[in-house]
Amino acid sequence: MARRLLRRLSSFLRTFVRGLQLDRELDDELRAYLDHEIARRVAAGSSAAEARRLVLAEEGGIEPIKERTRAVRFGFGLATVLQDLRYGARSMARSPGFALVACLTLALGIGANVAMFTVMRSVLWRPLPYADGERLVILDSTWRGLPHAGLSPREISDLRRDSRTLSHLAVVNGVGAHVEIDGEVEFVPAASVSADLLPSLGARPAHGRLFDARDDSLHPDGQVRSVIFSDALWRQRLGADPGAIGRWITVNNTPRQLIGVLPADFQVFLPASTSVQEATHVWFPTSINPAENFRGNGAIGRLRAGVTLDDARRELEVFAARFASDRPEIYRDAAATFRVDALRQALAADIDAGLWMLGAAVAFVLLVSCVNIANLTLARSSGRARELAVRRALGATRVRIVRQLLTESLLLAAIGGAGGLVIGRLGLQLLDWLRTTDLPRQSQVGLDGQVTLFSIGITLAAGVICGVLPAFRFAAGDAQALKAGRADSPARGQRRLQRGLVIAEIALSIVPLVAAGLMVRSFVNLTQAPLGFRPDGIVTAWMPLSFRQFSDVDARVRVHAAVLDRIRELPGVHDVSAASPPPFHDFQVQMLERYGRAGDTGPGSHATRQSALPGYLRVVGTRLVAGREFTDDDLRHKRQVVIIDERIARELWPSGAIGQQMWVGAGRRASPLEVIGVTEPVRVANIGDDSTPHLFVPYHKFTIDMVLAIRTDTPAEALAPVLKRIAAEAGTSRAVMDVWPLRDYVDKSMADTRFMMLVLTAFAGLSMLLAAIGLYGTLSYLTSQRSREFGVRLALGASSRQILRLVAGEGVVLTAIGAAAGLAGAIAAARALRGLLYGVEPLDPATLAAVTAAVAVLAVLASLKPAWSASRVDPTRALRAD
Amino acid sequence: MPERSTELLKGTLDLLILRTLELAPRHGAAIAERIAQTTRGTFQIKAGSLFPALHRLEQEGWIEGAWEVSADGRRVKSYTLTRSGRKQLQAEKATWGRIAAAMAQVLES
Repeated sequence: MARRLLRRLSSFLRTFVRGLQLDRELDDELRAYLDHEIARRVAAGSSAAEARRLVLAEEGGIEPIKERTRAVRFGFGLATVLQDLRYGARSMARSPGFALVACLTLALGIGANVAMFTVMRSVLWRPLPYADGERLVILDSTWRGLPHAGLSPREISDLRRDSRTLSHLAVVNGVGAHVEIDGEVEFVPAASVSADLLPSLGARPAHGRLFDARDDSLHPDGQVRSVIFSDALWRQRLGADPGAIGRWITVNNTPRQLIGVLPADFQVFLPASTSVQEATHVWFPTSINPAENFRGNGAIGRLRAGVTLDDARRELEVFAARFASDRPEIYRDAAATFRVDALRQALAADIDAGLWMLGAAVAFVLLVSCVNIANLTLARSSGRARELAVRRALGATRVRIVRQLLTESLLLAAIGGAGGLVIGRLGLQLLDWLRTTDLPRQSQVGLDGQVTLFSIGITLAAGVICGVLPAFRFAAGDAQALKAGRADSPARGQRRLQRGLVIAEIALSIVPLVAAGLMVRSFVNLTQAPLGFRPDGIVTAWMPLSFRQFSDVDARVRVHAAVLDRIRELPGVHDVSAASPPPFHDFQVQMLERYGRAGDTGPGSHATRQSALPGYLRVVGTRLVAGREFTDDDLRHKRQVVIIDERIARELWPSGAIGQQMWVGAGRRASPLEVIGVTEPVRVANIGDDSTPHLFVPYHKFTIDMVLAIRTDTPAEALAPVLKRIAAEAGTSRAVMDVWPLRDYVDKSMADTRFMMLVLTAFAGLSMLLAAIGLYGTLSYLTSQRSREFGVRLALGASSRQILRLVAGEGVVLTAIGAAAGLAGAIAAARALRGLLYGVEPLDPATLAAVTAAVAVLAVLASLKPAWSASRVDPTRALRAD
Repeated sequence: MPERSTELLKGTLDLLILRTLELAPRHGAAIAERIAQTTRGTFQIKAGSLFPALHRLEQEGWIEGAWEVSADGRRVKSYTLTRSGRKQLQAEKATWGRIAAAMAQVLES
């Protein structure tokens, strides 16, 4: 057995290493055989020539015999592939221009797909890095029209006790932590969680322990002063000292005991609605108070064994009904609707549609490049029709020819694919750079085995798509090609096929073009959206304050005033005030408030709300339509006042809002506020949302950490250290952070649209360029093949202008048909974009017209050169050539 | 030259070649000639079948080719039966015998 294997192996090797020698020996052997046969016939009385003819006729040619004999060699299939590859490489080297264009377009197409696949897989499909992560769910509610209102501790507590579908229900909320170690204060993202959360995510402490009943303030022996650190914080600030467990550290102005450190590989992926960030470094314990009705808590749980998401949804509906009947005073008017989603889906909910659109766009680009290469190959291989016909005549089978042509296109695709991996890598870096906001789970985006498999898959697919049409078209191996000394005008079937491909290319490239056009319009509309403030020339900075240290509102007002006074005196500062939260900040969603006319009993509408210090409107340039701004007097006397924007004024008091009374926030029982000012419409939550109105309340009505707004010529970086020093000297004992231009917040709010627009435009431009190359290539080829026909026409009296019109007309007709088909497709596709657009309809006539015009111009440009050279054909030359 | 020839059963060609070489080493044309003679022209082996078969048998190690000079002074590749080829021949002969006997029984019953 072993010997047999060894022999096979050695003959396998011989096939490759000594292939030429084997071929020569086979030649000799066959010649000897034929000589022998001929000699036999001559001996029987035939003439030598006659005998030779007879033998050859009888045996059916020498090449097929050789082909069949070679085929029995071990490993011959592989040897053939190698031979085809060598041949393919040679034919590529003969037309390096074509090879370069083909490989480049394929590399771009494949690279774009690899990059998008990598992102989509990491963000949308890859399982969470938690044990049994597919069973993790998040609960949320919509409360009186407010999305992502979260759950109340009472609801969570009821569900924990009675749910049969969910276990490990835990509370999680993103917060901030001012960590003071050795006198140095640092602000880091933090989360406040109930004891079940970390174990439910599969976390195990690297040092110390996780939270348990001892950390629960509601437990008889519980105390809330424990804290857990991330590995990074423990390393950076505590020198990775295992002895730090048990140490008391001041966090948020309270001494807390460090009880545990999480492992370095523990990653935090929670939906934005919980406001927990990926880089969470401090964990606080929290308890679930069954008597508390405040909403806004993120709730994470696990599906019990054998339970589906649908089971959980049905059970939640039952609970909703029970809540409503138990506590009708809270849940009247169907105030709350609950939902439960798989954690993995919830993480990507905001970005899902955009990623799918980009994924579709890159697929289009690759398709266009494949069709393009098929077309160029077709054009080129018709020049090779003769070569292929000769090979057929010499005994190559049809399968053999198809195989060879496919090998050539696969070779192209493989080179393109290798380039594609490189471009995909670069593309990922480009994505990183283009996006100022983070994708969910962006840290998990990366190339790996699965991505490589995907790349190989699409490379093969691309190779086959590029090669299959030309291969079958030419395997037919027209013997006519041999008979006619030179191909005349190409066969009608061939021309039809090539024209069809050009039409397909143009149609395919129009779909991403329309999508890109719509995104560009949306972006332009966004940049021109009236914000209600002038962001340029303003630097913002968070100035947190310890509310324990400054427990009294007046003290807080005083410290702010002191800081503002110092800043006002700085050189280069024109004006300064403060408000919070800053426009387009992430937690703006949480700041929606109900409002209504004092005395009205309806549920009211909702508006975004900012807390402002006197002078804020002046600093950011918000125009007052009527009334006045807040004054120091308002703050000193804690006047119950409010400033609303025009939209609220028009809604509630069309005949004049100044002096009217309204309620904001905590229900109708709250004391009414007097309207003292009306501003232009202000947009702070979502730059694409012009329907949510805005109102300002004075600082004493809503005391939160303030953001300084400084009108200045000094850049933010230069201002940062000064601001930090001033705050420290004023004794805020918290670090000033996020010293940014106000423009950055605005830009960030447009980042997604900008990102989508840039990427789509790049892809659309690429596919349009490819389509133009295809049109140009096809027309040039068809024209050069028809030069004899044109020569005849010219000789018979056609003017060169007529020829010009003939060729250019063909290009225009092809473009028109392709554009019509493409527009029909684009109209269908544009509807899917609706959610991503701003200020433009999916069927925007201007965009459709612009795209059509761009394609038309490109088509004319692409047809011009071939048409011109056709009209320049010299009849004598064209007719004399063979 | 009798034109009537019979389609070879699959695998029969190997047996014919091995058997022909059992008696003496021969080159390609001689093998075809010998088979035609002994079967009185029933089997006319064409080069298109003969050479692939020879090369396959050589790869299996049942026959061995060597270049030598023929009686009429031409350089030819002559094939010899190897030890394992002899074993293979016995095995195929036995198989063929069983098939022939079985066929005969079916046809005569």
